[in-house]
Amino acid sequence: MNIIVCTKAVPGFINNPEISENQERIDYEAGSIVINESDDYALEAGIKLAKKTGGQATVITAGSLSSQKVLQAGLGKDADSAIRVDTYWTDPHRIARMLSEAIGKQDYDLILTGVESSDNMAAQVGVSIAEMLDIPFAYAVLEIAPGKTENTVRITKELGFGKTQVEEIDLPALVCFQTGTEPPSFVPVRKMMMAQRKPIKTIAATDLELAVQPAFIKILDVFTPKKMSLAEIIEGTPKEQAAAVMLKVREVL
Amino acid sequence: MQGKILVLAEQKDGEIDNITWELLGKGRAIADQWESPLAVLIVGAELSPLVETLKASSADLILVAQNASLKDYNAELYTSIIADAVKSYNPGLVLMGYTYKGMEAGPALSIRMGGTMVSHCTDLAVEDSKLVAVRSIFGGTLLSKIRIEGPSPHFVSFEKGSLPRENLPCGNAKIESITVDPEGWRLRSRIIETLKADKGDIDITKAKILVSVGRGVGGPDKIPMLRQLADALCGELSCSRPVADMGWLPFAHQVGISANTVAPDVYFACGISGASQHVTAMRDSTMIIAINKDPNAPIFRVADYGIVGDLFDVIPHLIEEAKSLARGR
Repeated sequence: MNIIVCTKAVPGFINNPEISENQERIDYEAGSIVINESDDYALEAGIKLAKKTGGQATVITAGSLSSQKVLQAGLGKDADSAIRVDTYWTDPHRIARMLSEAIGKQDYDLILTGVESSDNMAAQVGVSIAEMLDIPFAYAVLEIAPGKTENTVRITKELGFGKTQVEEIDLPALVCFQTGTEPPSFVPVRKMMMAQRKPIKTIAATDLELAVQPAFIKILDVFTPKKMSLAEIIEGTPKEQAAAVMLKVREVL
Repeated sequence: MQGKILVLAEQKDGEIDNITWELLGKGRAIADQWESPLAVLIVGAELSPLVETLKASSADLILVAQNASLKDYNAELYTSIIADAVKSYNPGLVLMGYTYKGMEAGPALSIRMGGTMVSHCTDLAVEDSKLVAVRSIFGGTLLSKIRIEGPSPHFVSFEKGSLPRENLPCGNAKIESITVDPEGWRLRSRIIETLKADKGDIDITKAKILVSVGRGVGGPDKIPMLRQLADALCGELSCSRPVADMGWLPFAHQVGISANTVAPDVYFACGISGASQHVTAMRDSTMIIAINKDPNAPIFRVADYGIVGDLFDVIPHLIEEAKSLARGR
C-alpha cells in the first residue's frame, strides 16, 4: 500500500503576531518549530502500515523552507521519500487545493493527515483534500489496519463522548488521525542527522496547474481573548503557595 | 436579503445538543438583519420528539431527514444527505458546530458546493454587508477577526459554548420532510460496529471540586497523590485527553469537548498545558487554579490563579491545607 502522509510544521509558541501586508497570513516569531501533534500520530501509523504491506511511505508538507524540519523527522522515522510544496499561503482552502494537486500526481492508495493543526485550528485541510480528489474519508481515526480485501482498510474512529466506530473503507481513501493511545516514537539524533542528508523534492506552486487563487478570507485583526488575561501567579515557598491557594478556595466554597 | 440561513442541528444521547440552540440564536440574529428565513436541518432516526423540541425554536422551517437506517451515524451518508438538503434549500449561509460532525461535513460540503468554509469561530456578524467572523487560533491563546470574501454559500462552524443560547421564543415553525433513500447510495465505507465506552458510576460533571490530571504529572504512579488531594477536598479526580489515552485514568474522568464539559466551583489543573479542546470544556468553572512548571503554558491564560513550579513540591502541602480546611468546616 503506497501511503502519503500530510504533515505541518507548527510553532511551539509564538511572540509578536502581526498581520501580513496582504492580510492573508499572520507572521510571528516562533519559539520553536515542531511537527503538529496529530500529524505525528498519522506519520507513525502511515509508515508502519506501508512497511507492513510492502508499500512506500511519502511524507509531504506545504510551507516555506523552515517547514522542511517536519519532513526530515518523517525521513528519520523511515519514510521512503519527502516532498515540500513551496508556499507562503497558510489559509486551509488554498493549502488543500495545492496539496491535492501535488498528491494527485503521485501513485497513492491512502492519504493520512492529522485532525487539526495547533496554529490555525481549522480542521479543514484533510477532508477538503479528500473531496477535491473525490475519495472517501474517515475523521478522528485512532487505529488503522489492512482491510478484508486488498482494496480496503479497516479503521477505528472516535465519535466523541466515549463512542467509537469500526469501519471498512474502499481505497484510495483519506484518513485524518486523532492523537491516540500509542505515543509517536522519538527519532534518535544519529538517525535525524542521517535524515538531514536525504533528498527532499521541492514543488513550486508554479509547477502545479493552479489558477491564480485569491484568498477566501482577509484577516482584519489579531487579539488576545478578553477572558484570557494571565492568571495571578502565587509566589513563595511551596507551603506558602499551598496556604494562599486554599484561602482562595475557601472564598468560593 | 443575502440568502437564506440553514442551521445543522446536532443530537447527543437522544436530545438536541446545546450547540444547536447557540447556532439558532446566531442564525436568527443574522436572518433578521438580512430579512431572510431561518431553517434548521435534523438528520437521523426516530426524530419525532426532537422535531417537537425544535418547534419551540426561532426557526421558520424544520427540515427533517429521517430514516430507520440512519440510527448508526455514518459520516459519508450523513454528509451526502446534508449536501442534498443544502442543494435543494439553497441557503447563502450554513451554521454548524465545530464538532466531529461539523468537522466532517463542513469542509466536504464547502468543496462540493463550491462555497467557502470558515471554521472554529467564536462569533459572526455582518459588517458593511459582509460576514465578519472571529476565529480561535494558536491553541486558543489568540483570536483573529476575518472577513469572508470567498464564494457563497458560506459555511461557518462554531466552537461549542462560544455563543449565548437562544431564549426559546416559542416559534411556529413549518415542518418539511426530506426523502431519504439509503438504498440508492453507493457508499464507499461500511460500518462494522459502533462501541460505547463504559462510563462506570462516576459523573465528574456533578462534582463541586475537580482535581484534574495532565500528562505533566509524569506517570500513572503519581495518580494516588492527586487522588489524596481530591479526597481531602471532597472532590473528584478528572483528567486531560492524553491521560485517558494512555490509560492512567478511565475515559469517564476525561474533560474535553469530545468527552465531558465541566463547570465546578474549583478546578485544579495539575500538569495540564491547556489545549483548546480541554480549555473549552472547563473554562466556565468558577475558579481555576493551574499548577505547571512551564510559565508559557496556555492554561495560565484561562486560570484565575497559577503556581509556576514542580507539582510535587506543592501538592503535599495542598493536601495538608485541604485536610485542615475540611476539619474547620
